[in-house]
Amino acid sequence: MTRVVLVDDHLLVRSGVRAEIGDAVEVVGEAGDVDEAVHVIIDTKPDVVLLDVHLPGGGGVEVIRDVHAQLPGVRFLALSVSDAAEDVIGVVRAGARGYVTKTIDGAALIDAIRRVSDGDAVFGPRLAGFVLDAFAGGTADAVADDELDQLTPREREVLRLIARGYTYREAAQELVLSDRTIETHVSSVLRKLQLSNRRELARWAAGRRLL
Amino acid sequence: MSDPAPPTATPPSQRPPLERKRDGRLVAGVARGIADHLGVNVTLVRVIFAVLAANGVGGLAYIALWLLVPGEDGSVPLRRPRDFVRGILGRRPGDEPHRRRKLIMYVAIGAVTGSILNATGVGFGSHSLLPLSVAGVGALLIWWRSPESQRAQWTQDAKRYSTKLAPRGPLLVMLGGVGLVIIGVASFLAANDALRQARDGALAIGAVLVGVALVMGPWLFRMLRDLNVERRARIREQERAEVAAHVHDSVLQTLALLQSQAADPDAVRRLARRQERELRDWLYPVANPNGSSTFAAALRAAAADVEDAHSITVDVIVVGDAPLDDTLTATVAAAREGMVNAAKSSGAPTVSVYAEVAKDGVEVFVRDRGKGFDPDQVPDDRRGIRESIVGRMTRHGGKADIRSGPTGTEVALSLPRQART
Repeated sequence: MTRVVLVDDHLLVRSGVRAEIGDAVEVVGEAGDVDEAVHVIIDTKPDVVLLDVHLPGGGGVEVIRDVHAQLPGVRFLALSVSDAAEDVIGVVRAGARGYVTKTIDGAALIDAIRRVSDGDAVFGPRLAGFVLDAFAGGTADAVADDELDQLTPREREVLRLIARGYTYREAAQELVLSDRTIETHVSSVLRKLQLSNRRELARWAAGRRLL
Repeated sequence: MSDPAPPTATPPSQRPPLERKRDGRLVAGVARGIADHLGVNVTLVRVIFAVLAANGVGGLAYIALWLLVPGEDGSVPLRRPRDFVRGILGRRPGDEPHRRRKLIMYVAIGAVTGSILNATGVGFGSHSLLPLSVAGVGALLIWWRSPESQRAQWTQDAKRYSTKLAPRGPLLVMLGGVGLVIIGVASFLAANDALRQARDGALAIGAVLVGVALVMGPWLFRMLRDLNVERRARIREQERAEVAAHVHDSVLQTLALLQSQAADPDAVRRLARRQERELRDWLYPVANPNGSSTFAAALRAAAADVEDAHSITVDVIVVGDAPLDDTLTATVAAAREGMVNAAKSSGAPTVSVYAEVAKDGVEVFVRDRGKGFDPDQVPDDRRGIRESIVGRMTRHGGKADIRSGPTGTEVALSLPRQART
């Protein structure tokens, strides 16, 4: 069973999430602030951490940084109510492998946790929209020659379907591709999102001083 | 000051009392006592005395302090005139090492300063001795009579000035040099023409002003800083009040409504959703330089209307944006029909809207996961789809594509950019 740690400063949210996913995954720890989270994660070495973006003591970004300094293998899935691009992009660029909103239903959340635990990326419509926005404008940038700074047409297509509300499977059917290929494209986009220096990403990151 | 931390007054007990020291004296331990009391280097105090002694003020002040400042047990007293000579010539245990040599050096400093002043014609002549002494004694009295905490604050301020001048040593020497040159030149001019008579008066006034500045400066500075702190606190308070007002007007009201309508799940969902939307708009305002007349803002507003009217959740994601024009308004209207249609007939709880404004055109997708329908079998009385969506897009040079099946419906609107210009 996938071992999960819940990090959120609201007890109510934690118990709600645990009630929804508790049957399908093993919740091995919970934490309410940055220091506690780092401790619990280092102690329990979970497969996946469900991480709130806004946390007392520095935010989810700090947790990812501190944990990855010691345990680079721990995978993070951001779970937040924030729609702000700097929050979403910020936590993903810090190392989270996906971003879902707290309104997600239990089954979808369990699916997202499994996918993150398998090493794939989880892009919801909102994150896909932000990424398309950030990578819009094609080669207008001077630095855009870099492969990291552009999406391939295929990646763009996949992201657009996700932004339209398609699941990975539906997107695969639509594009007549295998599920696995969709995963590969999304993971590739995640890598670009984390490593690219495109101006829009830098701007969002600067909004939270993440550069 | 950019330092937001409240100034922490040093507890009075931490500052050693002003008393003449027994150990490490040169003459009577006055300079050492002052140095300990203020927490400054004793050499600095001695040099100041020596320089001031050039015209007598330093000497007078020293003797006055010798008389007035209580001495530590065993320090050199000044009760009879011969104590003065004994204090200077006598040798006592605990004296500053190389005491005589240093004494001679300070006398030399005073003498050199005095002769320089004389040679340049500056000399704080006998006429200016009085005002200078008065100013000095005044400053001294103010210092002496001030509450301990105030003194601590003054020295703290003074130290802050000096740390700001770091590396202060060379800089201060240079500034002092510049000051001396200016005074010298001015006095030279004054001494050699009709301004001569005004010289002493000017010096006295200058000395008084300097004294006042020294005494009042830190106090004024501190008052300004207090004002600043107060203003900042007031701004914070205003911001807090604004947030509180907003939370009260919106969130608390909605929570009250939710409690009263708990029996009606539809109403609860609608209220919660509307409150969420409003709070989001307030917390994360969408950057929008041209007022609300952009495509993205119009599409979001349409979605909000549909949410309110049909108790359904509409997730809107917009990539890019453009100023609203006729064709874009028509596109928003068509998208709105799509949302209404999904809300009314799909049975799905949420509708996803995705819009992309690109260089070559605008695309909008309205998708639900409801039960779907057959676009060809829509009865004529439901003109919504045919007229409001397909017809509208066609009239404006775009097109609408409706796909529906058992897994839901998707309305795809597209509008080439050329058609808009």
